[in-house]
Amino acid sequence: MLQTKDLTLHYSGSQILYGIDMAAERGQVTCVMGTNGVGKTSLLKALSGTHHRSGGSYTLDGEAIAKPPAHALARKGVAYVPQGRDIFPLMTVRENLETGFACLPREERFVPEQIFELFPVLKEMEGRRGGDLSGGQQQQLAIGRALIAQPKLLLLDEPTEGIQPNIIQQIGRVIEYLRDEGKMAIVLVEQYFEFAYGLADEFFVLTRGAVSLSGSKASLTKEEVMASVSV
Amino acid sequence: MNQALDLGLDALSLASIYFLAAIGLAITFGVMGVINMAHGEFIMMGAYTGYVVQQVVPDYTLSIIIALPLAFAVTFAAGVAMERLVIRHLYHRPLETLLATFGISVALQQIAKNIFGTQARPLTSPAWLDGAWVLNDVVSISYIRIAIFVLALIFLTLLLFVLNRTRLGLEVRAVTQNPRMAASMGINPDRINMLTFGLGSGIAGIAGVAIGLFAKVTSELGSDYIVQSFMTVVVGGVGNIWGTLAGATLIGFLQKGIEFFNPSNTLAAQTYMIIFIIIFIQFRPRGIIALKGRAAGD
Repeated sequence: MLQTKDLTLHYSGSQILYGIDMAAERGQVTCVMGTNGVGKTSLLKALSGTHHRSGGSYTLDGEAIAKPPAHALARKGVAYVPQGRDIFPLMTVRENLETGFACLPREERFVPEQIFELFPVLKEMEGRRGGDLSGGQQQQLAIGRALIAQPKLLLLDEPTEGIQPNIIQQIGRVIEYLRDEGKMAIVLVEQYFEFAYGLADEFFVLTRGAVSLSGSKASLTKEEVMASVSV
Repeated sequence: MNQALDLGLDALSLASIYFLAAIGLAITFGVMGVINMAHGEFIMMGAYTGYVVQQVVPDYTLSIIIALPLAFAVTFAAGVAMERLVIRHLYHRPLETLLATFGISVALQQIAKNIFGTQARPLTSPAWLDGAWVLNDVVSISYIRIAIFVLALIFLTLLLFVLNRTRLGLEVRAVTQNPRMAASMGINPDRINMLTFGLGSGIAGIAGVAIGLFAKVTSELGSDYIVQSFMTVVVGGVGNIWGTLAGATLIGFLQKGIEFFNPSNTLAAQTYMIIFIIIFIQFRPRGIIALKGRAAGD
């Protein structure tokens, strides 16, 4: 589904990613792990088109992706839930969801009931402004909003950051549900080890901008993964 | 009593003129945050469009009906061209934007002078707009002013509808609140910025036709309104159409009120008003209608 080869990325002069080879499949959670500042968020930026890679190849469903603007990638089915959530603060919860309609043909522009079943709180808060929600509610809104466009690749950047335990559990259940549905590949960047380990099917551990350990859950022991992300 | 009513009507019509002049700016400056010093010249362009149409179509009623959409089209195109060629490269650089658009403003004035000369051109209103609605000896209001008031109301409704109820409005708000995230949702921010800027400019063009009906159409028409327009938007509260309405009302009534107590000296009246606004902004820096709540953020 998703494949990158020798992907590099620079912020003006300084190189952040050094030749990342990674893959993600439909119906699987691919977990990108690593300590702070190893380039996890930068990798997601390259995949979502918000900051383009400087070299290497990127294919999606067999299609080679050049360096299109972010909105064109979104229309190809890449949905991005950024770190810090980036809710539109002055728009209502419903309007936030509706921004995803840009990727859909006119006759499919409705908010599916499924979104509200996954996140009942969004139904309750439908008319509230996004910026007035709590952090946990915003995170749920950000994931719900990403699902509107029926993506084939879902990029989640630290969905548990600063969120209370019962909401984290709920988000975990949603990710499992989406994986089992099998319609999309999920790339999860996460620092909360237990959460990430519990969900992951595949691991890619980054160290200083390069993949230092990768493999399926079966091929790696928990201790190996744990050791690779400890400082 | 009569005098107060007359003054009130005067103030109301001045307020609607300011509102019309400023509403386009409420979009380009208020919503998008672009300081467009050439906004006044879009008003001027609209007024000259009206004048040119009257040279071709002699019937005054018909010519106004043609001029309104045509003025919108002309200034919409000018706005889109300016956004693509200049503004786009200067987003988030307010000082450069200010200088560049000021330069464009001067250039457009000179172009207008070269084409139409320095002499004022008439934009004649149709006969049914002549005359006034006379309540009694003291209180009367000309039909043109009523028409402008109505036009201002129509624009207010139209714009609120576009911004809050249409797909374009939703995308405009998404892009202005967070362009990068809007792009990740599949919205093309370049296209939306272009259309939004065109819309604001187009509305300035229509305002130009209305203003041309009672003011003289000269190349300096725009510069007479640019300061007032910015004051209206800032005093009312940036980023908010209701704020622009409140700002126009405040400035309109204030100006007429000061003129009433100080009838012989308009310059002094303007000075007092600007002093008042400077003090007002000290106490309410976000304007009359400020965004509230957690959502307002910074």
